Amino acid sequence: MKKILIIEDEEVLLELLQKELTQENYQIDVARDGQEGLNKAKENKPDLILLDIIMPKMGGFEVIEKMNQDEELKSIPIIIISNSGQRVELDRVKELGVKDWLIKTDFDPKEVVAKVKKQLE
Amino acid sequence: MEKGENHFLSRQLKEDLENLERYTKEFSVFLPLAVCTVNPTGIIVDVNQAAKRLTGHDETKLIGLEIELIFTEQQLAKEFFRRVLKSKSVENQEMILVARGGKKIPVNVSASIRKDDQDNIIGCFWAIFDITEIKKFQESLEKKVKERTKEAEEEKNKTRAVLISLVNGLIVFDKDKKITLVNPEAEKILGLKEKEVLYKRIDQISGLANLEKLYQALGRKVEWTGQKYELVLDEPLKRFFQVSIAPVVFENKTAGLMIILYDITREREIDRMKTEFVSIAAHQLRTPLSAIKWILRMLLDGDIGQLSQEQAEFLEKGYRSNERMISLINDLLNVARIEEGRFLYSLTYQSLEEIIEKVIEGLSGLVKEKKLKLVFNKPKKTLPKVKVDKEKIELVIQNLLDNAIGFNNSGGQVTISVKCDKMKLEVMVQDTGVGIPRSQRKRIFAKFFRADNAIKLETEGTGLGLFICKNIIEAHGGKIWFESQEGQGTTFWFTLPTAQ
Repeated sequence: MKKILIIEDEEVLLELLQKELTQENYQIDVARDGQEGLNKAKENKPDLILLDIIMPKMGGFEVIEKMNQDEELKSIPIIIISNSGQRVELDRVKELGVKDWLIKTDFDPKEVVAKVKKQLE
Repeated sequence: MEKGENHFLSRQLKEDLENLERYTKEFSVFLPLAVCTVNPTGIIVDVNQAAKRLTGHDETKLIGLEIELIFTEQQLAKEFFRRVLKSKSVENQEMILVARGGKKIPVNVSASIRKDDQDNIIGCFWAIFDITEIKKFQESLEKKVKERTKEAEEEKNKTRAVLISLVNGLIVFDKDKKITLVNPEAEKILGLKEKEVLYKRIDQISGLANLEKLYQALGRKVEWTGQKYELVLDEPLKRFFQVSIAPVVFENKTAGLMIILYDITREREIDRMKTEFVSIAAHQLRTPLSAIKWILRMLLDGDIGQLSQEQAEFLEKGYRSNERMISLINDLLNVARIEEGRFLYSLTYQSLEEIIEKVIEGLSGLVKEKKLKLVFNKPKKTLPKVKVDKEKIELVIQNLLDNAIGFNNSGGQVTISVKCDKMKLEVMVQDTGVGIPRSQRKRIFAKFFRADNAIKLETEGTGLGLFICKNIIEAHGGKIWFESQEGQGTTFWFTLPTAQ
């Protein structure tokens, strides 16, 4: 069973994603801020990470930067789930080698599932 | 015979003498210049008519008088007389003459000695010229010059006062590019004192870091190009300035230049805060909206459990309202970005046809619902690709089609077509809807404007769509316009320049 780590501070979205992805037979781990997310990534070595950008304690960009410095973590694919969708942000995300990104208001959970499947195939 | 001859000669001589005397007398009476004849000790022995007129005295009073007594400064007159005796002739000595009744008259005196045939000095002529009028004229002239100078001085002081109290930094240069003024604000900005740099050219000054930075910012020249420059200073605080150079024009001639330093630090700060606000607002507003969207979607998809028909219909309405809210926030963010002037982001070569097809695809549900016919008249030949910001052009077509559908009557038609020539692509979006009232056509592209009939028809519009369209098209170097017939429909056109 593939392991997915969701790092997202918005409780509702976190719950929804967790529910949808559990239904798709993934093993889900959650974190509610960047620091917790990074710790859990080190602990559990997930197969994929869903990552929010603006979060308490540590933002998404910093999480990616820290992961990129870690030999064990840097190969884990990341999908950004962000809110603002400003192009500056997206460009920075791409520079950091992120696999895919989506803007929360433009997508719904079903589409997230589709993107996850595509990455894990 | 000899005696007779002598007699004749002496008679002739006498006649000649008489003639000469008469001539001298007449001449003396006629001469407007006052002349006094004095003996070697300075006693007046003769005066002419003009001298009597000038002094107001007759000859009984004047003759026998020491000449210095008719002047106020007798010492000066004596001294003058001594000089005349010594150097035979002295001209143009100004003195004050005291006339009858103590009246003082400014005069110009020239004098010259008289000699007999043995070269002995026998006296002296004093020509006294009344210069009252000249003096008056001279004084009024001086007064005028003084007044003018004072006026000019006042004007200069006023100008200086204005320049000094100006809130912008100002450096004034003469036509040789030498500094003639640095106002206190510029002193403060550049961290220097006016006297350190006065009457020097910028390139002759060294050791003033901020002034050097300014010179760098201007491209190491002080010239009027009409261009605006930007200056960033770190000392003592980080500050941003807009620098402009303007000619100083005096009587249609360029008399120099001035550099104006306009502090835009605050504007910069506001810009930064605005961007930050937009980004925070985007996050804060969109987060709950995405949560709502996702929850409703899951409910509608039956993930939580089966819904009744009625429940599903209500939730569908809720979902759509939420979608409108999201697009409203997107519109506001777009407007904020337009106003920040960083709306166009990345230009790539795109096929307009593909963009249009993609937008049309997304609208099919709405078109069906309103029982409209949406026609895309594709061009016969392949269109050249255009260099555009794809997302923004999508937004334009989306907005125009949204309007064409939203303001259409049920059963109506929307037509979109594209044509091209050497210079540009032209897109037309035509509807058979309510049209735009004549009185409101001028304001159609204005921010937050909504036409009266549009408000009645569709209550949820923001009045931002066409404002955004116009900004996007113009940022691409294109044009947007429309024609409308109330009750019959509206046609919008826009152009995009094709890549060279």
